[in-house]
Amino acid sequence: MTRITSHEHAAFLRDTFASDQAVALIGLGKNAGKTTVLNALIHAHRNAARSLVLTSIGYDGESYDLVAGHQKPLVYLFPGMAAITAQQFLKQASIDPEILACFAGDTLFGPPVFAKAKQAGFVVIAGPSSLQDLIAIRARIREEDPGALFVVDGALGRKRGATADYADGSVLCVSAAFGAPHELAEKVEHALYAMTLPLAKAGEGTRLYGAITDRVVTSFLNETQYKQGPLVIDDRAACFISSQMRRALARRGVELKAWQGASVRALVFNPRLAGGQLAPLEPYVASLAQKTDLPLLVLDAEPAIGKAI
Amino acid sequence: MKTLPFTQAKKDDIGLSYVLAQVDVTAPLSKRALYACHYFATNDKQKRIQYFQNMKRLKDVMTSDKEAWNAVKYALRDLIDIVPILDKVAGQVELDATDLYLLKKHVALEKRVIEQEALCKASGLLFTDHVRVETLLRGNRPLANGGPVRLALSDFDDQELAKARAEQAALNLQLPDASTRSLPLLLKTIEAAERRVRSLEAKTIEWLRQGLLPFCQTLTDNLNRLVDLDVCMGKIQLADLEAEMPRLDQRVLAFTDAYHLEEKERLSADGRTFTTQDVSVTKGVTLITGANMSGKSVALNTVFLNALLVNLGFYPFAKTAKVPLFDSYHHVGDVAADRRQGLSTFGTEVVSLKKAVQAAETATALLVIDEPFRGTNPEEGRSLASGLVSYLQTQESFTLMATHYRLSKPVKLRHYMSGDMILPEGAPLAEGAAIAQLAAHIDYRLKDVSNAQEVPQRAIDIAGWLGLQPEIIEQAKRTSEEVMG
Repeated sequence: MTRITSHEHAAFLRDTFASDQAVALIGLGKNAGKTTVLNALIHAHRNAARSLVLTSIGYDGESYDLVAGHQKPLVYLFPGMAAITAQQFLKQASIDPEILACFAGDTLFGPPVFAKAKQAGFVVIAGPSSLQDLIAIRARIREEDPGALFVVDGALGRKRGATADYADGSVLCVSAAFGAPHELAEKVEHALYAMTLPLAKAGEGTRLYGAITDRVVTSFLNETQYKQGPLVIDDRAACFISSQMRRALARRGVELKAWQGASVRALVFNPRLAGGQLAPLEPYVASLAQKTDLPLLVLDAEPAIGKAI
Repeated sequence: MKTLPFTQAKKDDIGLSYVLAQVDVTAPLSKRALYACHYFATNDKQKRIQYFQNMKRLKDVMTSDKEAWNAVKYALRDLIDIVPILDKVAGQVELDATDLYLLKKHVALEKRVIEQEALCKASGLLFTDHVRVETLLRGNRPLANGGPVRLALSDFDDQELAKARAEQAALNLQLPDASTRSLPLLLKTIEAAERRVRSLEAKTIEWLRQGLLPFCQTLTDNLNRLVDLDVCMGKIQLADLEAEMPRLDQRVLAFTDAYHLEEKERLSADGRTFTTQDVSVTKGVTLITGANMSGKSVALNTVFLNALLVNLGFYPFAKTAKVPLFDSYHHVGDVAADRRQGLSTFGTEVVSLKKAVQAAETATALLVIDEPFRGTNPEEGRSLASGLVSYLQTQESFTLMATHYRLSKPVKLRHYMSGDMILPEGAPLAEGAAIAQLAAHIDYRLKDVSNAQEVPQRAIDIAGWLGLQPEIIEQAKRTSEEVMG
């Protein structure tokens, strides 16, 4: 595992997503550090040639993230960067937004609006809440600025990874608040199992459609004439099976593959505990290193601008 | 215009939902207008004439200038409901940049449609004032020359606001590099600068609102016209290009080569052909009789749906059509789905008939009645049907009725027979083959038998063909001969 030091974050984030058109920031729970990474990405692209377009997945149009219980991210944008946020939040923004498009998918706070910052300032990001809307928005961004990096804060469903329908790459964010080092490592290992399922070739294996849970797999194996070969699910993000089911499949020699899926580019670790104090770093880093080779970004103790304000 | 009060189930039953689903409208807003089902009623004579004249011109443009047609279709993709924004303008509610952007985009869309002059002229659309609104919403931004629509509140800055905004921007830019010590003071300064910008922006927005106020009505009218255009274009794409423009005639409801779109396509999927109908219905009652399976109900639905479609602004599914304006439409058929609480099928039917007859008494209505009183005993059913025919015959409304009953009191009325057939000797033994051959031997065309002395009845023959025991058939024939003399 390569540990990326805080002064290397900006360069790492710029380079890691160089070939991606869209990236999703996935958190395994609340306070995982997604917004901090989002801010770090913004700062990394401050003077970069590549433009940045940001949005956040909405949860039923609430101003609060209903799952995590905190407010939608308030971010600081540099001139030229763009965001997709609800009309009401754009109204409060201090970026002198230049509106480029307004999308369908009305929420309590108005439709998602695509706007570019004409001046530096703050904006609350609360984007669409449906996959269809997100896909349409991504297509519009490609039209508007083919070279832009589209960053989606959050995924559709807390425990769901990013689907390849809207993201090419993803970053998994975790926090010391999720458990002791070995517990966190186990959770990360299980999340990464789904997020890194091998991709199937055309015509390979038996296709399973929709969300894949323990019950779906059990009924499929019991009720069909399945004999051998991999089971191929729609998308890595559609895998919701438990670790027990993983073991059961392994015992039976059944391999799970995905038809498509975003690629995980890095793991982000937030050392802050629920009360705000810092956890001892090394045991966590050591435990995580045993489970994955992904580059690890440890977040600064100092919160990024925007989060502080 | 009036709104069709049919339930979804009724629209499904008569095949209207199917037709609506085939209309390719571009904007969701237009789809809403289409499904609202507003129809031309008796006091909309001029409107209907004008509508179909415009439609005919549009139809010509569709075939002669496909490029213009596609350009307008493409522009209409962006059509949205701007009425809530115009309500804000009229109601002194504060507008924001998104509202202004959407208005600006709408005006740009109007402009793109107007550029297709021939099509606009053909559609009868009148566009006014969009240039003045466009100029207002452009602010100090250079002319886009057909490029994408953009808007920022700073497009409307005067010197004072531009200065305040520049100060705010400069302060904001200091934030990322501010030290922890200097940050609180910087934030306070930024907050004050932002308040000043907001206050000046509010004045600008109010100035814009005042500027837009005189155009609210025009913008609303134009929006409605664009929706009409979108719907109309969808209807034309669905229309049979061979069909003639429907004619308005308050004396007769008549079609040649009429068909029911849903039935036709269902039959076509089964490899069968729909038999088109020539039919003419006048004031009073027109009767359809015929054996079971002879297509009476389909014929009724064909006439009813096409009459309704014409007054909903569609080309009919017929070669020619004369369609009067009606104030209301009543289709009384299988009432099982409409059964009211505490009422039997018969009771529900009576209640529905009563309502339809009331409408026929008070205004020009179109009534289609499929086998009335079939749910009660045949003697009384026949008497009730006879009474219904006699009464409706005296009304100004148009009634098309199918029945198996011989009317007890002869009334002079237009009478069609459906399902004439000549069955060959010796029915096939297999049930499937018997049904298929029966369908092949039925002539589904409506035959005018108004002047015929006797209309053949074929239920006993059909029952025999389908394999009912010969003993029963023989006994039935003897009984029938005794009754008929």
